[in-house]
Amino acid sequence: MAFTLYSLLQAALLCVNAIAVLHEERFLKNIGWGTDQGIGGFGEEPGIKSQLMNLVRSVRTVMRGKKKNCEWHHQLYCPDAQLQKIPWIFWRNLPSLLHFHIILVKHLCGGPTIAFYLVSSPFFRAPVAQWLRSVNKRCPLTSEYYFSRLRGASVMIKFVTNTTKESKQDLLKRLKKLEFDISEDEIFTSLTAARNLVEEKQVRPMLLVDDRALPDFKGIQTDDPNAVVIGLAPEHFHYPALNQAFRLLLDGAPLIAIHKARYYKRKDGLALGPGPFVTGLEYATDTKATVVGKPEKTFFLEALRGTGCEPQEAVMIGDDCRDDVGGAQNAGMLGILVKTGKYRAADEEKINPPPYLTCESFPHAVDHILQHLL
Amino acid sequence: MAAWRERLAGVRGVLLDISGVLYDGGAGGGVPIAGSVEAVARLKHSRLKMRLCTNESQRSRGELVGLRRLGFDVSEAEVTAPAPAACQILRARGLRPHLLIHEGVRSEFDQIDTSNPNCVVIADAAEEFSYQNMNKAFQVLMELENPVLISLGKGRYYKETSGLMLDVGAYMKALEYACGIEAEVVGKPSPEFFKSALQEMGVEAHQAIMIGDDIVGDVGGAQRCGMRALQVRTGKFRPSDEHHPEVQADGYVDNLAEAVDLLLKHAD
Repeated sequence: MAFTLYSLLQAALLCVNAIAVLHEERFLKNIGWGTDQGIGGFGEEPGIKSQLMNLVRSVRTVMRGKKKNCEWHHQLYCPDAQLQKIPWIFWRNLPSLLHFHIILVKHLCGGPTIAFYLVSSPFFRAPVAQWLRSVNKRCPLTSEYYFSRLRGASVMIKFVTNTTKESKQDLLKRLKKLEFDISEDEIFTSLTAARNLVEEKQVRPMLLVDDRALPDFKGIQTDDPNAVVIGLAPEHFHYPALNQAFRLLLDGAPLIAIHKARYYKRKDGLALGPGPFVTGLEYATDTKATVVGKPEKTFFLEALRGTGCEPQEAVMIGDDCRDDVGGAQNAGMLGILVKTGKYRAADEEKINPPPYLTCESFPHAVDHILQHLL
Repeated sequence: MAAWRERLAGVRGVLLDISGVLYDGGAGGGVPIAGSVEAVARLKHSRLKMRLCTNESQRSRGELVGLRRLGFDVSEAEVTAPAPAACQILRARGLRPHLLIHEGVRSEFDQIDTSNPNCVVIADAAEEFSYQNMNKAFQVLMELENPVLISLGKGRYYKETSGLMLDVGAYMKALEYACGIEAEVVGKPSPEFFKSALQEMGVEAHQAIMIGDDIVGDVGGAQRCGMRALQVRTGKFRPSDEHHPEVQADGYVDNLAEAVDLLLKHAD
């Protein structure tokens, strides 16, 4: 890298500038340059004054980052992969001696991302990219933050999950511990769906579910059963219990399956899920179970019930292409597949029609919704 | 009744299901179904050939002959059962099975190498169908590059004195679904199984009749082999069987005694 006099000059000027803006609170305000001006939309011709204000903000956030607070980073976030791709073009509108600027690089890097953007000088490019990368590592973009952004928008949020052993209360506790601001009535699980169906059919179920799931069935009559609810409950999948369920089914009791997963991963290897046992009972009794969890259409429609929201107005974000995205789209919603969690490469090709959108993570999904769907 | 004469004309051999036709299983060895002991004796003393054709896979043939204690005059050599047929297949194909079976039938597999299994054999294991045992079989199958599941019969349920009991078919379907495979069924309603029973009896399919309590496994299976078949209204019989959407028996009788009456009267 050429260490020219020009770049040295740039560096020196920048440092002077930075020091000056650090004292912005104390003296820039006094000359009438407040901090309440917006960054301005992309494409607008920013005045010299607002460009200077952007510079001020940039440096200020950089300094703030040195304290433990990661909040600011969300304003600057640019994924590592995109850092490589940003075309380092000259920002002609800037006075040539000022080189830091924040712009929306939406159209440049293909994502609705606000990036910290250094222009014109190759001297700064590598160190800044390096620094941003280290920041990314230190302060990963958090889903909590983006969740709170979604919360701030005028949308209704529901949490839908295919749990068979975690009651709503336990799930709520776990999410709260992770600092998601959620209330119980926003959670809709496959257990909720099963309970709703039991209430609707007015039956007394034999509950082949994990003991931890029992709180979700509190108040439901279970003596002298005339229905069978089956979830993931290895401790109940022994011959006498299944035979009892079988006899009830032969007598016409409905079979309600919380979901039909074939198997799941356990510490000691793969283990049978509820699906095989449901299938066995279906075969023995020549009946069909009503499956209530994802990807059933009714699951998604039930989740929307009472929200006043039509399927066409809803978006499902999930990591399971078939169960989350496919199921939701089948119910008329838009499905967004995120490449986190159980996502495996090329999952998005597993369904037809394909996901409405596939993106890196929940934050990107939220960005998309806020930008394009509201 | 002329209809019966027509339906039973030319019958020379009779295949009998055991459970639900001869007796209802249960604690203490089960109880014979009224009239069956005499019916079997009459059949044996008639011109008709008789063979027992069972999917019973909870007990070895040796134990099955515990039927004698209930008064039935039958011997081990008269029984076609799936366990010996499965052993033949295992030997012929060099398969070493993981056995998900009942203790009672284990002796049939004494001569089979079960080390380092490369297939799973599932039979009516009753109480031994625990989650752990099912999971073990599932894990064996999942580790195989080319999973082979052999099922001794695929019955849905059978009747014991305490009521209807889940049969091996339900558990076979469970493993099929879990592993995304299809099991090979040894026993009724597989045509090979009926054919070997016919061969052992020395009667052609069109001259043979099957008497069973299972509308699909006994009646449907035998008919697909070109045999005729009667369903008895004992054992696992349910009234809805008479209006089964796919299978129509050549006749429905109250029990084995009535079937034998009709056969002796109308068959040749």
